Amino acid sequence: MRMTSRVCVTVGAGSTLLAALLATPVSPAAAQGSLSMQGFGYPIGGQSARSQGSGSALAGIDPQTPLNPASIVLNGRLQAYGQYEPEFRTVTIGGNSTKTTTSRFPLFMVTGHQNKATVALSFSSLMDRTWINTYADTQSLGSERIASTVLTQSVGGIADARLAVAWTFTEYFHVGGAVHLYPGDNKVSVGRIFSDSVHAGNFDVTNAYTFAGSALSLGAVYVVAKAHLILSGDLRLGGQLAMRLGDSTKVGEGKIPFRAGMSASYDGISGSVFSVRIGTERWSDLRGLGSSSLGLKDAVDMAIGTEIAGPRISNTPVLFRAGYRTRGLPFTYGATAVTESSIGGGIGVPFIGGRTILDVGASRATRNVPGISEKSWLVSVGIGIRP
Amino acid sequence: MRGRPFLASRRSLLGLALLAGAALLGACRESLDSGGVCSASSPLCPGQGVEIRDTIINPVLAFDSTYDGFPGRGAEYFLPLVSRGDTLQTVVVVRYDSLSTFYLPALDTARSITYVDSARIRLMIDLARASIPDSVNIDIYDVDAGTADDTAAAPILARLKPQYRIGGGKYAKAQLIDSLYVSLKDSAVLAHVRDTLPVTKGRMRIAIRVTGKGPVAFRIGSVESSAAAYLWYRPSNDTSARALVIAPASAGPADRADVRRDLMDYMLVEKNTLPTLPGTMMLGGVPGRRVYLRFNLPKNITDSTTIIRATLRLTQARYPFGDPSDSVIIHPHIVLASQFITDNRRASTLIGVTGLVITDSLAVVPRDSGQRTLELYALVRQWAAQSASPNAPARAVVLTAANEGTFPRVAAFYSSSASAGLRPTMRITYIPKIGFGVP
Repeated sequence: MRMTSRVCVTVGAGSTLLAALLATPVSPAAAQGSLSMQGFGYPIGGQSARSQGSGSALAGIDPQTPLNPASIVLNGRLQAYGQYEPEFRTVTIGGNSTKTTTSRFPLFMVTGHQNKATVALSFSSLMDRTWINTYADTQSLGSERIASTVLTQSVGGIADARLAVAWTFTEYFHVGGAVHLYPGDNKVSVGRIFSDSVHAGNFDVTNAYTFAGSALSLGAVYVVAKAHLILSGDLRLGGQLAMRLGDSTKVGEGKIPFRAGMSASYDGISGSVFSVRIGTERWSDLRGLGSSSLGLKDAVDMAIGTEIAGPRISNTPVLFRAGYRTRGLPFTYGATAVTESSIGGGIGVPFIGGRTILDVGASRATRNVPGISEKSWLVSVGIGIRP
Repeated sequence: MRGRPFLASRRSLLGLALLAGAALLGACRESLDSGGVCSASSPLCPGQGVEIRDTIINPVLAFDSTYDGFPGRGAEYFLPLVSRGDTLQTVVVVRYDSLSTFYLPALDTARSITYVDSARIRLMIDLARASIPDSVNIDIYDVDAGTADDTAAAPILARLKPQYRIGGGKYAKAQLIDSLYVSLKDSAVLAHVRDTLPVTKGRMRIAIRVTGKGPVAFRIGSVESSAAAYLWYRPSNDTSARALVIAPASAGPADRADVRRDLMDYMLVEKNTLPTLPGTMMLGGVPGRRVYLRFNLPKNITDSTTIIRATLRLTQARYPFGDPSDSVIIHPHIVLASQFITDNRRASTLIGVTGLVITDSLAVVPRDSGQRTLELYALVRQWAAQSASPNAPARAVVLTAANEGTFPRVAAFYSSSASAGLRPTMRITYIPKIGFGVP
């Protein structure tokens, strides 16, 4: 089981390695085995279980989703939140299917109030690039072609560490700002196993990459009380994002993608919220981080969803959620853009008089390009505690 | 009855928690392998992005040397009895330096031996890869020259004459099975038993020699293989007296127990006129030859890359002598001696067992020629791993022939002094350290 959101310490490469790297062109590794794991991996995006259950339509006003720094004011009191999110993925190509299970801990957050200020420290996953592929292949050694088993593996990703501060100007207007740091690591291994009879040495070589980047984000939440509307907007201004081999040799540099989004939520029906959200993410800002052949596609993210109060436990309502989301994924498959559509649902159950909330969300995501179908279940289980 | 909301009941909450727990536990077990949709033609897994390079190192040897005399005298597990007419003749020497001069009659006290009957030696024969004509003459010679410590070969070889013949016979091929008793002259054995001279008292030393119509080559057991040639004789004409069985033993030299053990039984080459091929490294034959190869590999490849293959390419030279149509099995051995041992003959004895690190071997026929290959990638990887060690083993390999020193078959390969097209080379396939893994 892995924790995708983590800061990793890596060991530096020696000068010999540096010289070798400078002298040799970088070549891509592209054995991901799924549409969502192209490029630098799957953009998890730090959606909380609540947001995931509503198709991410509530992301702009959800205090546990580290998207809009102004939304943290909606937490009420000090809260600690953690989330577990396994993904069950099925990829089908040419009649062949393969199923995988990936465990992730994509989000941790601590929030606190002081007068009109709210501060939140969160740690979420920007992208997860974790996959393993084992398959039979033929290797050419000189003029000889010999049977082998390929072992490829990528473990790691890029995390998003955010320190957000929000200010409540009035009961209806909140503004927030945040500083983001993007640490990350990615170990990529390539190996082959040959049969004993071919007299070739099995190999397994690993390159360990690290990432370091930064960004600023701004957001606002405005409540139009008379119209029962909650309007939110957020944007992220990306700084540099560097990729290094070990901790010394820079192999690529791009920018954290610019992101902007806005949402409108209606709470005119008692105990319920209906929300729509639209956002855009300029993934082409990553240009330069990877190889020149890496296909990048700016993406639009649209979602519609709802949260409806149900029966009460200790005077706190159980919340039911549903939503639909469609978005583009950042990395193309060849020249073809990959789109993800998902239908989600979830439930929020209060315990201990509302001091603890268990949010469970599930979404069925579909990613398709001609000839390849990928479907996955993303199950989010989040626990928030208010001391 | 007053109902409660479903989710407000403790039982329903417990059920929900159990369901969630089961789902979580199930998901804790990761299964990341999506290789089922990968293949050489799959667009999802188009390649690894790893560049594999290939280079030929020529010359690859810093030097090579051929050493003979292996295995050392008395270290043979099996002792070769070879006869190839004018070209090659071996003898096996066995010492019985602890002859019994007394025997114990039944229900009586010990008595001096004054009578010997049915004297013979038992040979344990190994017929693996033997060549035996229809019949074989086995002759036993008394080679005790009467000197105190006769470790030299010449006095022994000088006694391979008819007047010193003390036993033997002509044996059909069918008689040469796993063991064979060869008769000795009772009078000759009795003479040694009753010998009272200070130096030769109580000892008998024999040489075993084979001849035949056509090439003869087979092996007999030795002390090392616990199948030594035992001496057997009756010490009395009283049939109730037990026969005596005498194991090989050497009384000299007095100050060297290790040499005494070696001299219990050993092989001597009486004659070897098989030619050597200039400019070649020769393996096998009698006495056995082995080859020491010191490599000179570029460190930028061996120490900074991942070696997939390191193929030593040898060019075999035709050698139409010995048993030219039989095969020679060649084993490469890692050298355990450190680079600071400059006596390469000694270094060629400090080697790993067959199959340690290097699992490849060669089977060649002496009369053939052409390129032969040995895969050494595991060894080259090991050298790279040891490169930082201050006492790293020499980057060397020793080639030995299987059953070293027991068969006349010889394999010859062009040495590092040969022309560029014939001398040893190495083909290395490797992965350079590159920045793969960048999408």
